[in-house]
Amino acid sequence: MKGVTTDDPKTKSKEKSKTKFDKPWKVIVHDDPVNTMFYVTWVFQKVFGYSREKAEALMIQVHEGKKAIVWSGVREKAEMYIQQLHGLQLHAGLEREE
Amino acid sequence: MKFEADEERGGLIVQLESERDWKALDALFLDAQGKGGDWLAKRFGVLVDEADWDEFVVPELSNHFTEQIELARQTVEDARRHITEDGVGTFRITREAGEAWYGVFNQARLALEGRWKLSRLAAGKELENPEDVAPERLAAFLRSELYGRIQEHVFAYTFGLL
Repeated sequence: MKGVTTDDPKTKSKEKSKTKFDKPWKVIVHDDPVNTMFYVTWVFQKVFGYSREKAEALMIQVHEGKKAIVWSGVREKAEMYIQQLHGLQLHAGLEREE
Repeated sequence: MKFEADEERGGLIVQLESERDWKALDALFLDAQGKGGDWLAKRFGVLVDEADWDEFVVPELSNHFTEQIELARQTVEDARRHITEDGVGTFRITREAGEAWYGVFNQARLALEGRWKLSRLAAGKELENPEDVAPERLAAFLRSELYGRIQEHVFAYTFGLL
């Protein structure tokens, strides 16, 4: 029965691949007792190009919630951002959207 | 140690007036080295569950942190070679070097926090009776406070406001 199947592997593969691309990656910044609020705000503006208002709001989320999602999107870009955040000494991690 | 805004070129002028000031900066570089090697880059790497991270990113970050320390150390060494007859040494923290300097103070504070849990000390009541705090931990706390104060100046005078 070669070539005859009820389960189209090509379709399945495409769906799997699509799902993989659709799920964004989250850049998470953790609160720490060393970095100041001013500095964290500045870092968010510098790395992500956020407005001062947005950067401050995220900084407060990190501070009060002990961590916050500061960006989400494709994996390569998330990794690049995390490397920059680490370079600026913020505790940042990468998580996949559930 | 005195700080003055560099009105002409921007940045910060630091004046070291006593042996104690030089020792404070020597301690800074020692503190910033933490456990040595790539401790800080590895510590950040723990937050990223990626197979290649330790192999490719950690060494790069580690070099970046080491370069920050070396740049600052070199600046201080240059100043030490040009001390006036009164024993005063001066160096500049330029806008271009501001991030690196800030990074050195941060490395030192992160290392001290990691070793001595200073935020717990600051939050608790132990400091009400400093004689009950281990002398080494108290000294680490005071250094961290000093580094934090200097960082404020570095941030204010060398970081471009975004």
